[in-house]
Order: sequence, then C-alpha cells, then structure tokens
Amino acid sequence: MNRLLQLFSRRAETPIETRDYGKVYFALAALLFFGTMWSVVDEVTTRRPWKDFQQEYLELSASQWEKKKAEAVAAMDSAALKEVETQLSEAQAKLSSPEVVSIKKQVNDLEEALLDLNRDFTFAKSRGDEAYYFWKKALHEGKEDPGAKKKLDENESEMAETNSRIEELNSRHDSLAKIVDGYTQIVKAVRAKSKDLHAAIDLATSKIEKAQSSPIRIHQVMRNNFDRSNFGIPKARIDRCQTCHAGWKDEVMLDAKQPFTSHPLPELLKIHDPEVFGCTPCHHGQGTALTAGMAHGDDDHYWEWPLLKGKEVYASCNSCHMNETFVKYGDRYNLSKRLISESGCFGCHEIKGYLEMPKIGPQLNQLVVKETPEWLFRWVRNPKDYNPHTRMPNFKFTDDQAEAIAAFLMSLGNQSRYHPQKGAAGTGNADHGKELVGQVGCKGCHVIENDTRMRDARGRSYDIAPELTRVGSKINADWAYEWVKNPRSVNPDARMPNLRLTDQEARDVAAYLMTLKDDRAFEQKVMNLESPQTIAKGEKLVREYGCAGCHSIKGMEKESRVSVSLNNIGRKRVDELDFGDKTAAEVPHTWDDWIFNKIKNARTYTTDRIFSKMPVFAFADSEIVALRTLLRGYTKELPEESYQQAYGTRLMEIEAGRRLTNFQYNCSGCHQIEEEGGYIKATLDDEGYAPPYLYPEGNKVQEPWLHDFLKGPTPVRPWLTIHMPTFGLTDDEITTASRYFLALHKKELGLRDYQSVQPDPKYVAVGKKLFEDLQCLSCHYTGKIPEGKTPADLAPNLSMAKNRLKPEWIVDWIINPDVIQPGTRMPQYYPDLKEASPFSQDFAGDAREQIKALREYVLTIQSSK
Amino acid sequence: MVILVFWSFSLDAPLEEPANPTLTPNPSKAPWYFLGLQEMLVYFDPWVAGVVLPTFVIIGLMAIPYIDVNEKGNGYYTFKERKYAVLIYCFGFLILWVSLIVLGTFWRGPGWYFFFPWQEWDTHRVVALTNVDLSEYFGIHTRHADNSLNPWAIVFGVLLIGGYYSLMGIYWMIKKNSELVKKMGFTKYSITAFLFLTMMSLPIKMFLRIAFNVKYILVTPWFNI
Repeated sequence: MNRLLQLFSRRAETPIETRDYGKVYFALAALLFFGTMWSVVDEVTTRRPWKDFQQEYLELSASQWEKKKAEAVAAMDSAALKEVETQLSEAQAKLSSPEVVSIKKQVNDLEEALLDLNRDFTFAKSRGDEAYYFWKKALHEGKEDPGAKKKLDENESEMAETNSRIEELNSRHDSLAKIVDGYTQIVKAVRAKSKDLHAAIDLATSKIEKAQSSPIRIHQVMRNNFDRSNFGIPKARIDRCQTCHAGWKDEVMLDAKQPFTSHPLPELLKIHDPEVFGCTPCHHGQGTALTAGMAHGDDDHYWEWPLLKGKEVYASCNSCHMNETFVKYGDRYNLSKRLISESGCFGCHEIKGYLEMPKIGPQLNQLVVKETPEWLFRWVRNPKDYNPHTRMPNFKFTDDQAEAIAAFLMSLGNQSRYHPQKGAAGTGNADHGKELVGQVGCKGCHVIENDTRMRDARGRSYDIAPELTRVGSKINADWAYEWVKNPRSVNPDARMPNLRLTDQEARDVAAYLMTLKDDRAFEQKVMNLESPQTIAKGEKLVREYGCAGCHSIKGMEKESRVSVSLNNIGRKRVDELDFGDKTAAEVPHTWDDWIFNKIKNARTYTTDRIFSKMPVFAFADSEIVALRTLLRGYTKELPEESYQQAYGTRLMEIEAGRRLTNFQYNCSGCHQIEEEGGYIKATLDDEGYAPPYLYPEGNKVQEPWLHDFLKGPTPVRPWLTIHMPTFGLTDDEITTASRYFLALHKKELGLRDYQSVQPDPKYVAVGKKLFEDLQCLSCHYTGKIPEGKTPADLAPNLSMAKNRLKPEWIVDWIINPDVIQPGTRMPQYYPDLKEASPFSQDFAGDAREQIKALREYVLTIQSSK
Repeated sequence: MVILVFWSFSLDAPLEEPANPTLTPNPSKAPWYFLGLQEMLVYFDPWVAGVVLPTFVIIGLMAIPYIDVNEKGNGYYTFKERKYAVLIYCFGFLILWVSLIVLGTFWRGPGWYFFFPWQEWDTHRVVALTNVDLSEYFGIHTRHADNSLNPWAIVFGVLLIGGYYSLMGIYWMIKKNSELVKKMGFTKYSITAFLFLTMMSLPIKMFLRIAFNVKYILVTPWFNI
C-alpha cells in the first residue's frame, strides 16, 4: 500500500507532458480486443443454441433412418430379390445378345442415313422455293424465265424421290426399333420391380443422405398479412420454430425427445400446413425467437402470447372456427363447444357463435298444473338437492328469495288457461309402465332409478332431460298422463316428443312414474304465495338473476343478457380480474386459476362488498378445464378474415342441423349422426335393437320420404321396441334436418323426381335372378315380418326401397356396406369390382352391371301381403 | 468503452409489449429524463409544473453568466472561492432534479402512488384522498357551497405568496451593506433572489404536501399554486 502511494507521489512529481501512458493504453487496448473477440464468440456460438439442436437432430434422424434401413434390409424378401435379379440379368443378357446388337447397329445406321436424306429433302425444297420465286417474279414483270422453271421442276422431282426413300427407310427403321424397344421395355419393367422392392431402403438412404448433407440454418416461415398490429396495420408473422423443432414431419421421430418429436397429428397438418402458416397461429409463442425460454414465452414477461402447452392448443381452433360446434380432430375443442351449447352459458353471456341459440330450459308459465309450491320452493332453493345431475345451476337463494320466486311463478301459472283433466290418469299398471319405459326409448334422454348407463355413455356431469328417479314427488298423476300421452297438447313448444302410446300405455307409464317418490322427509314450509309484495319481489329477482336467459317466462320475452360478454375473455389481464378475498395461496393470481375457480364455484370471489349473481354449476373438473381452454380462445385479436373458416351456406346448414339435432331435440341421445351420439345403446341388451346410425342419411334416403317420416314416422324396422317418436317438427325444422344430412355429404337440397324413372326390364330380370341366388330374403322381407327370427337376423322391408332409398346409394351400399355403416350385418358380395362376378355370367360377369341389376330389381319390389 | 463493451454482454435491448392504443399502461411513465417533470405534477397544477417552473429553470440557467459577479475560478477549478454558486447549483440539480427523477423512476407505481422499490405493485391499491387547500387549515373555505371561489381564500393565498417573495426585500434590508450584495446591485440581486426563492418553493410545497396534505396555497380560476 505504501509502495503504491509512493508510486503515485513520485509520478506526481513528473510533469504531465513527460508522463508515460504506454502501459495503461496497452492494457486497455488488450481488454477491448479481448471484449471484441468475446462478443464474436458469443454471437456465433454461445447465443445460438439452435445450432446445437439442429446438429443433434440431424444426427439423431440419420441414426434413426439407419435403423430403419437395417430393418428394411432385414425384411427384404430375399427370394423375390433373387428372382428379380435373375430376371434382370436375363433381360440384360438378351438386350446385349449379338442378334439384338446387330439389330441395334442397323437401327443406328438407318438413323444416320435418314438424317442425310432429310437434309437433302430440306435443301431441295429450299432451292425449289428460290426457283419458284424467280419464276413468279419474272411472270409478274410480264417475262418468262425458263431457266428458273426448269430448276423448279428438277427440285420438285428430287423432293418426291427423296421423300419416297425416306418413307421406305422409316418403315424399316420402325420395325427394327420395335424389336429393340421390346427388349428395353422388359429391362425397364424388371428394374421398376427391383426399385419397388428397394423402395424402403432407398427412402431411408435418401433420408440419411439428406440429414448428412443438410446445412445448419434457420428455418423460417413468413405470412405477410396474417394479423394486424394494435394500430390496424397488416403485420407479418414470422415463425422460426422449425429451426429447433426440426423433426416435426420426420416420421421416425415420433418417440424422440423434445424438441425433435414429430407432430402427433400429421393428418391435421395436411389442412394446416406448418410450411405455409408456421406454428404460432395455433401453438402461440414468440415465433421469431430462437432460444427456448424466449420462444415459448416463459422467460419473456412482456410476450403476450405464451406457448399453449398440451391440449391448451385447442383454444386456437376458435380463432378461425368460432362458428362451428364441431371440427374434425377437435378433441377438447369439441367437448367445450358442446358444454357451452348444452349448459346455456349464452343465456347470460354474449358469446360469439352462440348468438341465436334456443333457450335450454323449459317454459315456466304453467308450473301450477304440474308441481306443488313446496316442491318448487325446494327446487329454487337448490335444484341439485332434488336432482344432482340437472343442468339448472344453484343460485343459492335464501328461503325468503325462494319463496318470492315460487310465489311469482305460481302467480304466472294461475293465469294459464291449460289444466289437465281431473282423474284423467285413471288407474294404470305400474309394472307394465316400468317395462314400457325401458322399451320405448325413454332412457335415451332420461335416467331413471339406478339405470345410469346412458349417462355414463355420455360421460357428462349433467343430463339433457331430467332424471325421473324422484319424479313422483314432483308432478301429479293427471299431468303426467297427459304429458306422456302427448307433450305438445300440454305445451306446444315442448321438446319431449310424442311416443304414440295408447291411452292405457300412457296410464301405465304415468302410474309407474308416480311410484318414483322422493322418500326424504322435508320440513313443511308455510308460504305466503298470494301477497302482491312477495310476487313483485319474486318477479324482480327472476329479472335480476336472468332466469329468462334459459326459460321463457311470460312478460320477459325481450330481456337482455344479464352478464358480461365473453368475446374477449381470453385476453383479460390478471389485474382486471377480481380475486375477492382469495389470497394467492388459496387461488394463485393467474388467469387460469381465476377462470377455473370461477366456473367451479361462481360465488368464490364474493366478498362482503362485492356480490356475484352467477349461479354455481356442478361441472366435473375435466369439463371445467375444457371450458377454460375454449374461453382462452375467445379473443378479439383474430387472424385476417381470409384465413378464417368462411361461414358459408354449407357450414351454416350443417351448424343449423347440429343445433336442431343435438341441442334442440337431443336426437343424439338415440342416434349417432356424426362422431357422437347413440347413447341409448348402452341401455340395450342387444345392439340389434339400437336406433340407426344417421350419418349416411343424406346419401341414402329420398328427401320426400325423409319429410314424411319426420312428420309422422312409419316404422322401417318394426321389430324394434324403441319407436322413433313423433317430434311434430315444423316444415322449416324438417328442411333444416334435410339440408344438414345432405350438407354432410356436400350436397344441396334440390327438387328431384325419384318415381318417374322406370327400371330397365333387362336389368330387372337379371336382378331378380341374382336376388334369389344371393338369398336376400333370408334377412330382408317384403311384406310381413318373417317369424322365428331374432332382431339380429332381420333387415328392413325392401318393398319400401322404391319410395325410400336413393338409387345411387343402393349401388354404393351393395358394393361396400361396411364403409357406409361400420359394423353392419349386411355382407359384401362383390369384394373386388374388377374381378369377374362369382355369381352369374350376365353382362359378361361385370360386377358393377350386376349390382345395378340388383338395384333395378329392388326398386320394383311391391309389398306382399 | 471497455466497461460498455463488457456490460453490453449482459444486457439485451429492452423491449416491452407492443404499444396498444386501446390500453393505457398503469403507471404511465414518461421517458426517464422527463420523470422529474412528471413528479412535479404531483405537487403543482399542470400549468405551473409543466410551463412556469421549467421556463424559470431555463431562464435561470441562461441568466447565470449575467448574474454571477464572482470572477474567480476562470480557467481552473475551485470550490472554496465559489462556495455559494456551486452549492446552489448542486442543490438545484443533484438534490432536486436528479432525486425527482429517481423518485419518479423507482418509487412510483400504479396510480402514481408511492411504492418502495422492493414492494409489489398492486394495481388495486387504495390511498385515502384527503388533501385540502392550505386556507382550510385557517378556517377559510376555498369554495362556497355553490362551488364558486371564496375571495377571502384568494386574498389569503396572495398574501402568503406575497409574504414569501417579500423575504427577498427583507434580506436586502438586512444585508444591504454586505460586500456581495453591494457588488451585485439591486437588479442582479432581485433576479437571483427571485429565482432562488422560486426554486425553494418546490421543496417547500413538497414538504407541505407530504407532511400536511396541503393541496394548494392559492386557488384562482386560471391557475393554482
């Protein structure tokens, strides 16, 4: 220390002008140089981890393909290979035999000679043209040029001579070349065979070569106008994800570790090509970044679109498909869309794609004829207490509030003109009623007693129609009878269809339902239902809590939605969410946790000052997670319109049909139409009793028949105890259904005359013979149902075909029934249409013509009594 | 340069989220070099904090060569011979200006409320709004019940501010014969004293606001002090 001080004081004695700074400058310059070098190294390697990733990927891919290649080599059919090799050497030997070689030589010589001759011809023609010009020119000048004329004639004769020679040589050449060509073709064919044998190996080899020779580089995808900046200016979207995730389309990388794994849904990528769109439109993340933390958004606090991990990616479907309730490969997206459709969130919240939905609840204008005020009170108090699987959420009303609401609803009912006939229910046989309920299809919509098979098959936490286990304590017998007999006579807008029961059957069912009692004891509640103040209070509550969002209530037809719009809920910032009294330990202060807990228990953020009116639902956790994923997808920041799925006529028809069949009338309880439905099957002992699969309907049935059938069903499969009920659909609704079925097959509803086309008698005759040979009537029938057969052995009445089936569909059906209806019992008679028919020699054994003959015959079948 | 080169290894360009015209950030902070001005807005009304005071700052800086009569320190550095000049400048620049910038940068959070740098910014923080005008402490309401101004409050404010600036006259009386004051002459003295008092009004107002919740001293229809 002292020495240092001495150094400084000595230095201070030296005049400034003569001090030496060389060492200091050198040290600083060295540091600067070191810093510069460091920055270069940093720039090239340290800050470019993607280079290592890509290198690793290329090595991994090459080694995987090496494995594949070894497998292919091992799997090589050595006998076939040997055969091909001998064939090849034989063919090549033939091609190089002295005989063929000499022919080849002759062909070559001829080609040379032809070349010369062709030149001679061209020159002669050229000289002739020149002579013709001079001769004509002289003529126009009024002179004669005999020299030119002579020259012209000479050349023309030379041309003719040369031409004949050319033709002669040409024909000789062609015949010889044909021989050589024949041998070459054989070699080529064998080579192609060999190539086919080697296909797997060659593919692996080319992949290995590609991996070994690929340069390390950034893979970038750019869309110039995919989205817009916050100022509305088109903004390019740049994705470099594939720089590290290099194995996304490499099939051998399916089980590789990240970031090299290949995409699990290659089929989906055929529609949404990452080489065109990039990855971030669906997966989000910071596409331009090249380090994991920044690209995924975990390390970048300011990046507004962090990576959607796992199934959260289905949130992105909503950006372009918000109008659809079902998309192929949609997985969690489809579930969540269905949850919203069925739970009626749109009754209180404005949600894009759900603006024109039917109210999901029943009308409340005539409850007085059906329920007692005590039951209604307990229901309003907590619906889940009576039926834990009801879709109605719990509003957690106090006793006083519930009393007021019951009073209001009863006062509405008192204004109603409908009353069931006293004593209409008469006496019924409850046992028979119970049997009927199990047989006619009630269980497609309703769960009764312990039979939860339909609910389990649906896999939801709620039912579409009320569970009937305690219904005897809810409704009165007369109402039950009239309702079961014909729900529309009680309520014209009822969703429950008419099952066409006889009076006695309806009485039996009603009697059975009345035996289903709620055996719990309830404290008798003394209520004041008449007081105008209570009724007014009830009306106010009904209005405030938005009951009219789900129910139609007299006088509240035009109520607006009581809660906020959810169209931008995915972009809500955490500081805009009110966590109430929940500490970060109870509910972590994130968007995800807020939404989850809000749907789980809507009142969870209620404080002594802030009250939430949203009722408490009872979704399963998996359903909440699905709903949350969808909500994340509701944002106002959408891709440019040209990238969104156009909501055109066909899609609108399909969506209207989905709404009608799934959410309005619950057709999917009994029928599978697209990928879901047919849950009633779970309650049947024999699948042969199950209602049909309806996806093929648009291709299959004639539109007039479908119209008549939906108006008033006539049994197609009379042996089924489950009736297709009468829904009393309006013509508009039937048209919607028809258009839906057709649109699923990319068809439009049009005018078409099925009856005037007369079958060709020649085809009919052949068809009749085939029909008998193939014993179609061992399952099908044409008049009465054959006796002594189980439902599994029965097939529809073919005398209906003429008025029911589309002719072109019958052909498709006979060609391959299993493609149209997987699991059908109808056999495939013509497995290969190219092969000759094994059944008959008619039409030279042409399978397609014979199928047509069968069709023509089937269309002539009349009902036999 | 060496330090900058090595420092730059650890710092990447700071980019925040994209600007969004529909979303005002909370807090909305000016660039760091303007945060002193923004901080002043807490204590004065915009006309005073944004126009009058900055103008005086500029005029004052421009006036320095004309009012500084001390010829010492030309061509060399000296503190001992220029104690007042250096101290006043350092107070104005380092203590007031720089500390206001530091305060605005590190100690202000959402709602421009005061947060310690180690405190989490809570956007929902509620701070009691209880500032009143100084006259209220003396039982004079600034406004009548019908919201019109009380002339007596204006008189009170004018007197107070007038009294404050009359300090320069009192000092002149006392120090009239001191060498420095004589050397400056009346004009230079009044300009210097006025600028000095104006500068000191900022910490005084800050103290009144922080210690006594004083909103304004003088309220007029056109501006407030």
